[in-house]
Amino acid sequence: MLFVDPFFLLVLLPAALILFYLVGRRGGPTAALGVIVAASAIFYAPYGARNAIILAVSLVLNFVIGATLAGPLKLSPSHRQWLLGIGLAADFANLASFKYLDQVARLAIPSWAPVLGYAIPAGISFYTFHQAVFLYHAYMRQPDVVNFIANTENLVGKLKTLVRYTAFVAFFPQLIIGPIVYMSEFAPQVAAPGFARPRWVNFQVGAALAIVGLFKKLLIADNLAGFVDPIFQVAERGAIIDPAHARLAVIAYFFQLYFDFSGYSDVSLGIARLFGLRLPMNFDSPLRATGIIDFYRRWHMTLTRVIVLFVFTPLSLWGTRAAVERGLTGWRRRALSAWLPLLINFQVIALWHSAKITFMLFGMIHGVWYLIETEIRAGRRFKTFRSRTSERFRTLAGMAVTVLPLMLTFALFRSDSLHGFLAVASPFLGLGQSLSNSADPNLTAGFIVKTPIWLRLAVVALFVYIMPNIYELLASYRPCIRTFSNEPTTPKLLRFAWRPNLGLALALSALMGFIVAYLNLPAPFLYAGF
Amino acid sequence: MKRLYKRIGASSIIARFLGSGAAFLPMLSALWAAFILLYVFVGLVDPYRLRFARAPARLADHLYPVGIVPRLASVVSADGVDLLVLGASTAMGYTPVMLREAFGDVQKPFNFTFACASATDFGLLAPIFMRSTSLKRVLLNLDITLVRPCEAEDGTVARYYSAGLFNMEPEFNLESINLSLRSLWSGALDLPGWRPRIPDQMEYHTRKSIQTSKPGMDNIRKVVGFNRSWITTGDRVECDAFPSLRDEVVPFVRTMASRGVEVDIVFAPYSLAFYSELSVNKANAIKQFPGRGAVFANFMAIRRCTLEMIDGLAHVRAHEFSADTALTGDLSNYVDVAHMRGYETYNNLIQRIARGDGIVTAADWSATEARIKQAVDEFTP
Repeated sequence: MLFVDPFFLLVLLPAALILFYLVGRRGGPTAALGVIVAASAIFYAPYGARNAIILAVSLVLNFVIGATLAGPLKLSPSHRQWLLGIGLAADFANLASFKYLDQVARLAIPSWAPVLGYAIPAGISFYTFHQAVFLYHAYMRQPDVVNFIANTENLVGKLKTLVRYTAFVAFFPQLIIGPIVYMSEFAPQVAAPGFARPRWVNFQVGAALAIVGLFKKLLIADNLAGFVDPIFQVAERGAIIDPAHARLAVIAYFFQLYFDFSGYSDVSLGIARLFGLRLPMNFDSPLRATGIIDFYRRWHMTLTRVIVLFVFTPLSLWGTRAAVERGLTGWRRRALSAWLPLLINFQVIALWHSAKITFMLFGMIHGVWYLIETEIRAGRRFKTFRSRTSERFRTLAGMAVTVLPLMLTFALFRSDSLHGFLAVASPFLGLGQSLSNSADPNLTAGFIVKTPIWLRLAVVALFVYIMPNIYELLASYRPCIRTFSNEPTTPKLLRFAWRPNLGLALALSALMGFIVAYLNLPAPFLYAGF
Repeated sequence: MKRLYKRIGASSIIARFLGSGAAFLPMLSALWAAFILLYVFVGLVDPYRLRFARAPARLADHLYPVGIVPRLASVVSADGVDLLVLGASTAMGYTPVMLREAFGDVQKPFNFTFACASATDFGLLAPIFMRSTSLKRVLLNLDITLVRPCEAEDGTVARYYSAGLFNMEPEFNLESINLSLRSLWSGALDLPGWRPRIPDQMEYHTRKSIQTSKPGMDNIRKVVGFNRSWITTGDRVECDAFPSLRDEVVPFVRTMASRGVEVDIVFAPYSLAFYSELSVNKANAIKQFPGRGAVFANFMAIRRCTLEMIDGLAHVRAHEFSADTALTGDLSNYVDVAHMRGYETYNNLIQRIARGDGIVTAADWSATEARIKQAVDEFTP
């Protein structure tokens, strides 16, 4: 089920909320979490029994291993390491078997592909990482994990803990497309005395987040998709795109991906907040990034931190150690301790999306870009530049330098093949043939654009570059858990804060009206495919 | 907010009211509750009659937006439609006026074709149309998508109905609320916004021909030249390769014919460049018809198998126009290699069908196939 499904918004969500607070009042936090588990099961049901079984097996396996690692059972360090290794291997093997085996088989033995051709279970990329982090924290015996799985001595205790764990992993607002939550973020909220007790502020903040998120998805991202998709599709088929269409399509996709994914995250955080739970922030105005380093502190932040935890940090430690042992200095040392881990880190991010050549190239470009920027920022010249220029100038200059490569790499991310990407990127950059396709029916078929696209893009750009994001607007109500703290980039004049008053209610009501007008379109979220 | 209102001179009472948090949640909750009630209302009214068998809503006498067409199956089968056009995008250009003029005895024709209509869709629709007691004639435009899966851009199989018709949830948006109110009020399944909108079907009348596109024609010349030596050399394909033809399409034809409904099966008249284009189209060729010459061989087999399966059925005719090079060999009649263009093209063809032109049977199929083969081999764009 998707957040844009009317059944979800108008039946499942209100019913789950009412039951959650009613049951929570009488039965306590675990009973309330039981309601969340039941609602999550209904939410996941449309994806089919096969996917539900895969999720259930993964849940139980991780729970058993996590409970053993963090529980009272005394295990030797080597046994604990083995157990963690088995858990992580099972998680990642499960993920890889669904995400990559089919693609590898298609490449290696094309005749096998139809035999293997199974769909990727919904949410597997997210709940796998979710649980892998849990296992790691259980291995580290993080206090929140230890407390969360305490009281597993008898069967009832074990079942109650399993229910709480299931709610942690399969909590429906985050199940399909994240954000990836740490136990240390979830457990304290569930253990708090006010959990499952209705609080006005939770409803106010949750409603505002969810409505704004749905607006971003249905009215901005899907609106742009109607223009973007036909152009990228005909580019894949070999059509020659004229520069104007190519430029508009690349810019439109740049905004579409952001509004689609961040819209989902906003709805996710909003719905969780309706249940009184704060989730970690996933997007912090990433299109205003002043560089690739800044971008990854603002874009899909919960994935960034997990990949850093599992890939960059251990590789960097290993590289540093190896460099010291070998007595390496200078660039050789940096190559081992930073460059190589960085490049691998970005390849893993790319692979996490899919083992497609366009994603791999996307990861490589971002990796090299990150590396170059890291070196430039560490250099003497940049420090001199920094001392001689204002913060505001550096921000604007950084944004100006970053936006074009970001747009192009987003276009690469959108393309199914390299030739499809080149068919859009070349005219975007003014390279290749400059040919008007106005008479090409293959191309113009999908280009029935009612409102001038540039006008729509200009309005959207205002939202992106000028207006405060929803987390800034609601800052005084702590709408999320901050994953990274970033400097605000909204112009001071517009840094206003929202209060839940009648004016805001009217504005949100208008947005709700628009949302209902656009509901029920077959509009899956872009990241639901990962 | 308060400061703003003070600055613009509004009374402090209004400022206090607007700035108050008391109205925030009740207002949003009331709106949410209203939407829930409307959702239930739309579900109960069920304007497209997807869930409840009740007195049907009346169809409007104009083309429906193509996105709405698949939802109308129950209404169409119950609202006195006497001529039904079934198929996919290659028959979308037939209008009710054309159909009435071509088939003189027809009062209420309905073109139920939509893009990428698949075999699965057909399997779901056929039983609904079989319930109709008013049908006198069915025109079945046998498009490839009715026999083989229709591949979406991302490689997934397109299923039109997954989003609407057979999804038992009530469809819910402003349009469906409006439609529910109007159909309850007037009994007509119509919205003011539908009438003036140029229907998507009409695009096939107004769009320019592929010939006006230099890159389009360059591409066609390239693929036709590239495929020329082997395009018609594929191995014979057996009828087992088309289970949906055997299990969905032909049983429907038999049932309708057994009730005395006249059935015209029209093999979609693709241009002669179509087979070459499809042979190099990775999305289709690799997944559906691998091997040199396989595209043409499969298309011919679909025709042959259909004719064999319907052979001897009363009230059933099959029409084949592929070898008519004045139509299929002239790309000015097409918007792309598959879809015809222009009102006159569609009008002429439907009149020919009504007159009984292009009739083909299992007995004379070999000769017809040879003519098509020759036309494809000799075609130069």
